[in-house]
Amino acid sequence: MDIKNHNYVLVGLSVLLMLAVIASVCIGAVHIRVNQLWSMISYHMGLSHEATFTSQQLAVMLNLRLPRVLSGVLIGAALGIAGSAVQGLFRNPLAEPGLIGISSGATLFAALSIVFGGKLLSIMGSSHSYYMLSVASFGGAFITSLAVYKLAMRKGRTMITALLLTGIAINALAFSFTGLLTYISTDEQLRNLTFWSLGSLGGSSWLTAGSILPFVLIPLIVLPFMGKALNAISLGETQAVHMGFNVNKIKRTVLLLATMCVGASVAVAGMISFAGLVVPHMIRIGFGADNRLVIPGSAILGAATLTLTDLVSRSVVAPAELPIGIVTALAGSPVFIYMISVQIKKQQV
Amino acid sequence: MIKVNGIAYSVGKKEILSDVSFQARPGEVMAVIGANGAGKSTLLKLLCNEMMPSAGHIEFNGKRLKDYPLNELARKRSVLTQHNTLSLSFTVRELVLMGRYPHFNGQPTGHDLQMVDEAMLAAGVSMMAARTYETLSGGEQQRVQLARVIAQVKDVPNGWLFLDEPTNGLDILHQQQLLIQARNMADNGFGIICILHDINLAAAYADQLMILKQGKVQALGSPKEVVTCENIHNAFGIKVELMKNENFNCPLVITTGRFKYNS
Repeated sequence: MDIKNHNYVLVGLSVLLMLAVIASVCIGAVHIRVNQLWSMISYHMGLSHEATFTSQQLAVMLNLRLPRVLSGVLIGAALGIAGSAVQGLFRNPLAEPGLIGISSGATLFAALSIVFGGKLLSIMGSSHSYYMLSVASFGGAFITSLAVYKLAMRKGRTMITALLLTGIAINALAFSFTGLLTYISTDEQLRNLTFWSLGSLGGSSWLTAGSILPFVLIPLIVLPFMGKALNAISLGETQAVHMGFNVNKIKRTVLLLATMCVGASVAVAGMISFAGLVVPHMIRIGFGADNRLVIPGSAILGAATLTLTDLVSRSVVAPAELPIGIVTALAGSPVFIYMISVQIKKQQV
Repeated sequence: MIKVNGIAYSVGKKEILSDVSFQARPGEVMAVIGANGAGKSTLLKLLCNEMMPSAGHIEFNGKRLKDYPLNELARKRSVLTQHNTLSLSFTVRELVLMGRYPHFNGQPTGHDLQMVDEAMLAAGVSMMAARTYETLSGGEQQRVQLARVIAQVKDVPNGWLFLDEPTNGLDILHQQQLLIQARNMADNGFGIICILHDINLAAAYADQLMILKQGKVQALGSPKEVVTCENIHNAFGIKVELMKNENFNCPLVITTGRFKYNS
């Protein structure tokens, strides 16, 4: 598939994302019709002076729907792009940030900052708690991904067994520490911890969306330029060096950017598993394995998928909400099992 | 022009290569033969700048090899390594196009695509251009990798090809075709350094033949000078006879009788 067709695919995915966003901001406890959405936009842009919407609808749109959908779009894009980039780097389509322990490393650090962060901040006399959560999750994600990489890579090849076992070990470690933290946390902190380990976009606000924006935007801009290099790495790290790529620099960059994505999403929405696994896989099945398409494509499709998943998770048991992590895991695990069976057939596990 | 001056390479106390010197010129095929573990692949890795020699130095086109940035080197020489795996599913054409990556940013030009076509033709893989790599046999995969490596330097004046056992997995016809292709490229100004196991194949197509033994150059010169019963026996510990060969200016090596293992 050549570059021109790549662009068609990306445009098609963007249309899908637009539709997902429109559906997501309109559907909910307070229903907003599409023509009312249009009226809101044209009224605020000064194109029309006639308002066909109620002030309650406008308040819901501005204060609840928009920030939540924006968070969903950012986190979905972040998880999709991080998944595809990490899979390219590890040379394995099963390397998902959640599976190999990166997300739970981030969750552990987020939990630590929930329980101990308040004290630390009061000592320092600062109030940037949202940023602290982002920074802590990012730090956790980065430390674990570095550890996983060191343990699982030998001579430029991923030891897939080592990779998955390391993931299991780190997941177990992170969960047990998070469990320990529940004993010393207050009631409110406990609610926060549960919320984080299941994943939810329920806490979204303009503040949370704004606090992750830089963490997501930088990878979204830079990672698509790594497509060629990651294609070359799919031949082997030595081969990529022979083709003129500075593999060590690429590794560091991809790992740093992917952990920024995972850290940011954990900070706002907690553990959302399998999104980074399933989304790139769908792109590969549909349009081929070329990373020049898979990386930007996973960002857009990830955003669309997570927006729709969030819509499902807050609609099916309305007025209550399902944690989004449960929905993604329910949908993602069968796909994962299918992928494993394919890999076993190819004798790559 | 590649000038290798007294390079050595050791891991810990073990010396894998010592005091290796030679010159390789564009327009020539240089073949390296030697027993398993003689240091052939290590030599190639040093020539590719994949590892640094622990002593001595390598000059590539008049400049120290270690002073080249990776991408500049990639536009002057390409390398076919021994073990090639592919972690993603690409078509043959996409894979060969990767050979052009050092030459374009973003989109490949028409010229790049033309080089891809020519390289696929040269390696005899044009008819499988649209197939996915993983559906090919081992020998076919090896030829596709060769096409990728050719595409990388096809349009480079005085480009270099380093091939580590390129005939691995190829049938007898494709072995000959590969070396004929290497010969043609050398005749068109390319420099080629090639590790081979088949002495007769090496002698038939190479201008310069080197025998490595335990990390040292045991013999170096034209195939005619190097292929002697004594040299072969020294390098491989096997008794051979030479047979006059009408078609090449170098005798054929044949093993004599059954080999008795006694050392």
